[in-house]
Amino acid sequence: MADILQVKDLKTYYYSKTKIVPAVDGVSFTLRQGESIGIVGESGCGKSTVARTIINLLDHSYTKVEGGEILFHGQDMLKVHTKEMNQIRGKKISMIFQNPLSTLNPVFTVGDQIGEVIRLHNRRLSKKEVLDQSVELLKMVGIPSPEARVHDYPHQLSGGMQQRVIIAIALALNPEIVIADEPTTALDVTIQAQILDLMKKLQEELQMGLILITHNMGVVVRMCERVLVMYGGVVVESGLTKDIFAHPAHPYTKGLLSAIPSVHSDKEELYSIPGFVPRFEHPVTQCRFCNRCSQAVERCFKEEPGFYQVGEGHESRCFLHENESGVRDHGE
Amino acid sequence: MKKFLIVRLAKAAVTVWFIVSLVFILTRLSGDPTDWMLPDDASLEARMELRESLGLDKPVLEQYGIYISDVFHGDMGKSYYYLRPVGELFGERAEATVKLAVTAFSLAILLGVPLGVLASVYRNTVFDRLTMGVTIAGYTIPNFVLGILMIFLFSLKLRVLPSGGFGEAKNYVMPVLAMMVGPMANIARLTRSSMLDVLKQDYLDCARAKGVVEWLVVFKHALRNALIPVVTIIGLQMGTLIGGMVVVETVFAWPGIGSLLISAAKNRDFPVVQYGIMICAIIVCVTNMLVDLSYALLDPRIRDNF
Amino acid sequence: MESREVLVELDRLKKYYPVNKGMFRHRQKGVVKAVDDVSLKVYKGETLGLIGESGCGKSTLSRVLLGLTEATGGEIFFRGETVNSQNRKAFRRQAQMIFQDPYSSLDPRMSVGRIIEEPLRIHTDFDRDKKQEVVKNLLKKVSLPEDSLKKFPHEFSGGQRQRIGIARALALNPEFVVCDEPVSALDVSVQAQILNLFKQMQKDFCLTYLFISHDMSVVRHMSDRIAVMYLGRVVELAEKRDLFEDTLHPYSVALMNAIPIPDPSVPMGNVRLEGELPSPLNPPPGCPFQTRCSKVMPVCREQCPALKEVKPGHFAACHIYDDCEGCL
Repeated sequence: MADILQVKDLKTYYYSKTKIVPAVDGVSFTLRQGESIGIVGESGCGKSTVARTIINLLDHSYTKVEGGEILFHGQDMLKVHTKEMNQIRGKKISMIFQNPLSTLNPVFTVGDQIGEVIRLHNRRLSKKEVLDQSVELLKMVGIPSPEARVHDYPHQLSGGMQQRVIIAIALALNPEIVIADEPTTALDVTIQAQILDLMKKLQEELQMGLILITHNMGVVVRMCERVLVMYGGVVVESGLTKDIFAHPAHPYTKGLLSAIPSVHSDKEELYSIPGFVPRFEHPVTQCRFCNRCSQAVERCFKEEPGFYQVGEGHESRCFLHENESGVRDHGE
Repeated sequence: MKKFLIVRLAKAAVTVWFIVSLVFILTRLSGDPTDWMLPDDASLEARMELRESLGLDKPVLEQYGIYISDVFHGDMGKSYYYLRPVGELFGERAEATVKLAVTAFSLAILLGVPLGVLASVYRNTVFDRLTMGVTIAGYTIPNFVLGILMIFLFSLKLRVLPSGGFGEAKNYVMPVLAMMVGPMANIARLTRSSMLDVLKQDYLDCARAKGVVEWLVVFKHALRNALIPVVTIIGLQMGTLIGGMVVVETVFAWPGIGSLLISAAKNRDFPVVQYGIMICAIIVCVTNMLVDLSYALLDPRIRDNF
Repeated sequence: MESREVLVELDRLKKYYPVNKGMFRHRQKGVVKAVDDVSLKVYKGETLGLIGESGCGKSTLSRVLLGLTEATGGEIFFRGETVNSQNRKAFRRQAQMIFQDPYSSLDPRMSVGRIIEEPLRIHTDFDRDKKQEVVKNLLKKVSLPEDSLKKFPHEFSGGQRQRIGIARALALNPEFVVCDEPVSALDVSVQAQILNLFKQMQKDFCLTYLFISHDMSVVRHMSDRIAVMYLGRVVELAEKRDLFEDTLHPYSVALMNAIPIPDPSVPMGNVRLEGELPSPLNPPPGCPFQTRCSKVMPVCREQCPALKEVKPGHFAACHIYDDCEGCL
């Protein structure tokens, strides 16, 4: 499968009066056609910022992309003009957001909001055609009696239905990439299961690339072939989902996985990572996890580790693996 | 919807009745109009005679009964001063006032809303700070002070605009400015703060992610949501505007209802004052009703509750 | 089991909310039965988990239980005695609550010392030194540095704030603590710390918990027994192992199947709930789950099933088990 999106050494920093926060500090990955990648991590790890940088939804009053490339079919998205960007957004790359109610505009009908994206990218369609397509999309995402629902306002639908509408908007023009930022976090578990089933089915049918951002490891396992684990603005481990969950390499990933209580077995005490996520300031010159890591050595406090190969397509950013393999050249 | 209108109309009628009654009592408390209608040396008999002809000799409660009954029969009374039916008097002067008020109010909205939107979009820039500074001044300076300052500058010093009069375009400049600056400043500030709330909403990101261009994101997706509180303020400004109208018409010798009301109040011309206040009360009540209806137009969530 | 001491008992507890519609004309449209006929026993020293999706009434139940809102019907017993207006204050002292949102449940203008001390001021006549001593001890228990006393809530991370909330709840040495989604706002790594702290405190203070969460794995980790709620009713109640491994109620089965499991070697369950939670306003007669149940029978549309002991210690409210006398 062809590479459709290459993110290379992406750096997005937040500027406040007193300091520079490296929200994303050198993230690289490649998405192939029809592939699903999960970006996981805790709040503040930079996973959402990666997504918002790709689709250019940053608030430029305090954020700045400091470096890197986002190549979409070889074209650097960081250098395209706004006009061109608006032709890509919604048509080739679209986004599904976290909170369904606040993502839909309360004063427009569901049909208006789906129709808007259809019409934006195909101005020749008549009103009737746009409406028919909207109904068709609602049917595709499993909304009952779509002919009636298309005239509803968002507040008249339940959370699960709202999220289906948002999926309909995102998939309206058959995009090549869908970025989903915590798409089911605001939903109940039974509704989450419905929405994940739907997303998985549509993603496979339409052969879209999916970038799924979540803090929920269970969701990643269900949805994604590959995973990037982020911490403090960098990817600390990446690889195939099955490899990472079977043999986590980085101490952070290990800790994170054993901190999740299981529904299948009982243990008296959970493993917990000590401390909390510190606030990083640019420039970072140590391993970002060293203060919470039980295996940290002196070196971890002095320099930031690069990636080490720990398996087939499985990398970890930890000095522990130095003797197992050679350092991968950064950014290849 | 129909029921809502009927209920609201009934409430408005009660409000107007209450205000009219209050004004009736207050005017009777303000003194005797025959004091100025006759020369100082007029005889007691002549005075009594005049009071009897005006119906002022009867007990207040009876006067009130007669007044309310007259109102229901469409008879608003005659001015003590002009000796003409009040309806006629107001009719002659309505044109000047309506022209002034409509111009001032439309400009206040048409300038205030976009100013507020731009200030919110360019928040914390020089433009924003400047706009907010000017609007603070705009709504803290009373309109008569502004009017007098303008007369001093443009009429007396620079001699470019007439200090009074009615008819030509240049007559409008200063009264309109004096009347619109306060409401405009208020509308601009409220639009800005309401927009700032809306600009944080996720649905704007969703619109951007669809590929909607930024100015449409602001003026189509954000503004319609931000307008709901602004419409309230516009309704409230109607009351302020009527108050301002009275003062501004007096300052600029504008031949409208406002100046008529002021002189009527000074002269204890009871029928004119009562009629004027009733008209104002009706206008304010109707505006408030329109505001409530426009909520429903702007916000489907409220529409469901009607 | 039967010999264990019952600490808190709810008897046919109800909380109905009247619903008015219309902004300008108020008329009563009906009632929402947020908590409907819930009877539960909480044994001394155990953790009773309460799971359910949003709108199932689990938070309302906790609020009614602690008297934060008036019950529409039913009774609450504490150590065998009815809780009424006379002894409510004493009950409130023994029963504390820990809230979901560590950000909004702490007064931002009060120092941490004052926050933890507040229940002592209201319920005890300790002098200053005694209060200080208790507060310092509590801080140590929840592993907060001693210099936290003079700091304000905004200076702490989410996990630390939840520790402050725990210290405040434990200040009066209560017997019973209601934890309402106490870790939902926290990240996984911090969540584990707080869950461990809850368990440690339970040992140290001999606490009894009612632990409410929508997260099945958290509830399983914390609880001894678990109650599943749906539309205001308890539909299943069992020891945790029985509930997860021998699920009886069709709703619980769907709930278990919906959990995304962070282990690629475990296949995803394939039982799905159709549709959405029906409107809680004036639900049809019969079983509240009838609209989404795959095993619905004619009787379900007529009669609401009672919670019944289907296996020893394992209760379910479902007509499927009507003829199941033999299993008792």
